[in-house]
Amino acid sequence: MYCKRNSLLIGVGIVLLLALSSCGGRTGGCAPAKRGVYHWKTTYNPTAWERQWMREHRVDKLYIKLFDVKPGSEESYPDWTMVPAASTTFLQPLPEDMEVVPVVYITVEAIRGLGDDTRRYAELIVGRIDDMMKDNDKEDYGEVQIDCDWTQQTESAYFRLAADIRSLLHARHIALSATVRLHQLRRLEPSAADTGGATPTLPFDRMLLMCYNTGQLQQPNTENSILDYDDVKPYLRQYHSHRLPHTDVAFPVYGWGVEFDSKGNFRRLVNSQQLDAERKQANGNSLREEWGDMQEIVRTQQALPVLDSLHTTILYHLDSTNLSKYSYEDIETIYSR
Amino acid sequence: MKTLKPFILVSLLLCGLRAIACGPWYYTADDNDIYRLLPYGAEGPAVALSPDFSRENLLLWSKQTGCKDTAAIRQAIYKGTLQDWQQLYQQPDNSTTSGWFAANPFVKHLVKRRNRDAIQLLYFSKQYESLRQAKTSPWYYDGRSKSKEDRQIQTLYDSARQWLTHNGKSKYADRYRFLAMKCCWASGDAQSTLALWEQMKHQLKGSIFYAEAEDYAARCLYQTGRRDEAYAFYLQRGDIASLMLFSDMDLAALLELVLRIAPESDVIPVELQRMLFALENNPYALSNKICLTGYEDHRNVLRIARQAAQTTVRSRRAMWAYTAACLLDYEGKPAEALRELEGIDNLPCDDFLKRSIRVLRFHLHSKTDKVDDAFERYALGELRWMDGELQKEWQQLSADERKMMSHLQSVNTGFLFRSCYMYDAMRRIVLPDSVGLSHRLAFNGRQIRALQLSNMVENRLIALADNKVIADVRQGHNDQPYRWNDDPREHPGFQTWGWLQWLDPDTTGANGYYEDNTWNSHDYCNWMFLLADKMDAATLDAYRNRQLHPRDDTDRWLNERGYLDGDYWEDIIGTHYLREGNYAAAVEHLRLVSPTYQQRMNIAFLVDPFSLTDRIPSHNRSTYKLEFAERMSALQQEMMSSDPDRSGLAMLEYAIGMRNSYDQCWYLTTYGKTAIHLLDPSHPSEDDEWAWKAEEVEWSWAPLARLTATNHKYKLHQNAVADSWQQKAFATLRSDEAKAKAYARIGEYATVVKRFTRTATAQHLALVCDEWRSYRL
Repeated sequence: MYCKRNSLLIGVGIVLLLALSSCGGRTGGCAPAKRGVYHWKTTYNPTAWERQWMREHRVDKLYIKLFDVKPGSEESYPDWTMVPAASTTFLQPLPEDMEVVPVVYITVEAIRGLGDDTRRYAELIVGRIDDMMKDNDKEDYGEVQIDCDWTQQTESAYFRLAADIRSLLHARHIALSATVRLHQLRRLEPSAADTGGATPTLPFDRMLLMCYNTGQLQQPNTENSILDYDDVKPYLRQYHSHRLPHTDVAFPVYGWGVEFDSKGNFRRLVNSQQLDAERKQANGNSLREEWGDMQEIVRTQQALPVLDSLHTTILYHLDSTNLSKYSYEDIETIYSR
Repeated sequence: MKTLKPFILVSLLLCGLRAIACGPWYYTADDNDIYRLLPYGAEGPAVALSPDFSRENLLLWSKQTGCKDTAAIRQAIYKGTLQDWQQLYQQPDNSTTSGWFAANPFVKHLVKRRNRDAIQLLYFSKQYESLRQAKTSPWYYDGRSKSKEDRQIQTLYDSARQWLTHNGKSKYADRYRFLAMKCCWASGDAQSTLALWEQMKHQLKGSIFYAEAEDYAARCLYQTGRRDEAYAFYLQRGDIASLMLFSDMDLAALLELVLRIAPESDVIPVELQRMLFALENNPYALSNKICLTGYEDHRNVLRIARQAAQTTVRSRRAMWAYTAACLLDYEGKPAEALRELEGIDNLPCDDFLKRSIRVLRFHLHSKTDKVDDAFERYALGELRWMDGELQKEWQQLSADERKMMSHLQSVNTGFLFRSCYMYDAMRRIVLPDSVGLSHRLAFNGRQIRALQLSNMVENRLIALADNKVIADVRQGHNDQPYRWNDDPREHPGFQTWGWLQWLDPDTTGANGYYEDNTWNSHDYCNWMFLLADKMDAATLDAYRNRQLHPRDDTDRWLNERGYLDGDYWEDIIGTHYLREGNYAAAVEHLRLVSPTYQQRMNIAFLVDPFSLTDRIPSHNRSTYKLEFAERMSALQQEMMSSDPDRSGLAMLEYAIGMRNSYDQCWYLTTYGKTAIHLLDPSHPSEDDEWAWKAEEVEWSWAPLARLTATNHKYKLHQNAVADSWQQKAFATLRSDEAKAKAYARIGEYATVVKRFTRTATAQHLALVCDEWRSYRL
């Protein structure tokens, strides 16, 4: 078990509080899903267009990645198993009119090196989130999100760390959410987890189902590695939302180019801003242009089990170059379902 | 500074421990140092180390508190945690602390004497340490607003200042001042820190905290843009590491700065010497690792040096001109380097640099001057001077150093390097292949002088040091190095390999020869030997004659400094004559080699060079070469016989012996392969194959490979000669019996039986060859 009884109670309380806070002021009972967007850049300096975009679409929650957690290197930090990296620099104040959720990306390599001192690192992670949020005048935040591409081998260590983080947050009435990739979904099933068939107790209060990066990026015959419903379908069959924590869901509104050489070997990713220039180059390589396709997003949304009204639909990510490729209606379609 | 200290200590340890990880490494003569502004070791460690502050601090605590137990003080103040001191501060009667801390005599002493000031100070200091640790942690977030750590540091600073206002004359006042200084600096307010420093420095003067506090002030000078003042401070302290660290300067920028603000700083020669050392040493040199920069910017340094040689303070111009000349030589421009030295003699400089300039000038002239009598006279004069200086250096070494050098291994494995500058410089000037003085002399027809100089340089320090190891192997013993290694306590910080640890001699004779386990790796692997190997036997013979009958005072002087062992030289000359096919001359010289010397050569052959299938009696080991030479010489006589059959058979035998002496019995004509084979048995045994790989081999083996390549040239020629003698032999033979014997000698038994059926040889073959296939042998 990853958390103590009292922290479970606190967690349930927090979820109830969240539920209650979402239910007021709207007609027809509970309000529809909340609208969220990720900020995943190392400098927080949204353009006027991006700020306007958030207003137009009535974004409720800004999920902002504060820093990564990487393993300490022999050269730089030999005494540290984990160190923060790529901290976001703030060039603008955080918005006052929406909830801000700090996000920390923890590399799986960092988890691999984690020993018994999960509590110490949990304290450091939570302390740093707190320092950064306070420094940006956001002392009161109700949720922290952690993101990690954990695997079967690293699951145990990651869950221990998450449990320690959650217990620290619960003491301050803050909820912990965690990203879950489709391949991780299987691990959360009762049949897969080492629970003897019982529903696993997960060390977070909410989970964020990432419906992107679903395909094999480096395979030349992949049609769209960002989101392809056919890739998603097998995973969703096993999904039983009622057994899992409160679930949010994230969809891709970005694109890129995937370059292959003449033999079909993956060469590199091309930034969406550089796609036009790269397309013109006839160097014998092929370029697969991918976007989070609206049709695939809608199909995936339809296939998802009915999510409760507390859930947040989050778009990845706040970047005008990418978002401008989607019409107002497209975005509203995603948010409204 | 503090973060650099472990690095410095490691560097110093690396400098002190001259262990060879694997080897032996065969240094080329180019590896010897010649660019020297300062004596060996004078460039010192990378950073001027501050005095042992912690020790002084402990003594001061002892004095201030009256506690004599410094071990207890050390334990309490360095191992006591913030929580320990906090509890003591909150409960000064020591009622809440426990464990070793509560029992610590220093803590008890403070409690007993109710020393509230000291307890508070130590608690504040622990707080400061903890906050600094938090601020230097990778997890610290340095945001726009003051962090909680910053706020706590501010509180600490205020507390220290408040205490000082009431207790400015207390014995702990300097400690509180220093704490305030540290807090102010840690808060990131450089201006305030500087202001505080100005206010406090007169009060701190004379205390152990002055230098430490000044260091914080220097950092603030830098942060507030008063960089030259900060640099001047570091320069004054000789703290180049801090200077480079804080300023992020490369060497050229550093030198330009120092030139501008302190042109006479001692930092300049130290840094220049470090650069020159790094440039001229190979990447394997252990000491390279202590260099702070890669010194890849030497071209920028050259520009600065040339300019400084003209414009800087007069007392330092010679140093800069010398550096510029070294850098030009390094770039392969010796003529330009010589021009750089023009006029340098009129500039003031110390005696060491004067010597270095003279050495460099000789080095450059040796590369550029036309080789004639005048040049030879000049070169000999300079070498005499250098030899005199070498003797002085030898005398100036400590008794321990001299003892150590008398037990070190071969010069070629580098162990005698960097002890006497003149020895290194002589090697660098005289020995290098192609460009070395001896090679230039040899190329210009002065081979004997070239040999004399090489011999002197290779052996001078060995003789001066009375090297026991080399003397030992020359006598066929190998126990000396083990004695040196016997007691490591006697020679801390110095490790040598057991002399033969890396050899795996084949004493079974399975390959047709024995390899001796008293391997002489000096006399057959040095640069003089390599030069000699390139020369013909007559030249070596003439040199031997000059050894025995010096022509003049110069010959005598050089002979006194070379290795003239008769066995050694006569064996080389005899072997060279064998290589050239002059067997009569070979006999003359090989007869002069004592059997005991032959007995202890690196290798001993067992195969009869005229049969290959038979082995010679092992007692003939000491006369192997001589007997071969005598037999070949006798065959030469027989070849001139009027009896065509006798002459022809002698020719055939001669051809067989000649061919075998380059092939299976290569030891008769070859040294290089002996060395290579013994040093690395994994190399191919076919010298044809090996010789052509000479260019591909690792640098350390290249000279030895070249030896084999030289022999390969002879082999090609002499094999053609042997073939022609064999053809001539068959053309000379008249009788069927003799022809049958000749064909049988080369294994063509079928021809003997078919063409010369009636001969006694054929009938004998028919008796011993009872199957058809035997005839095909």
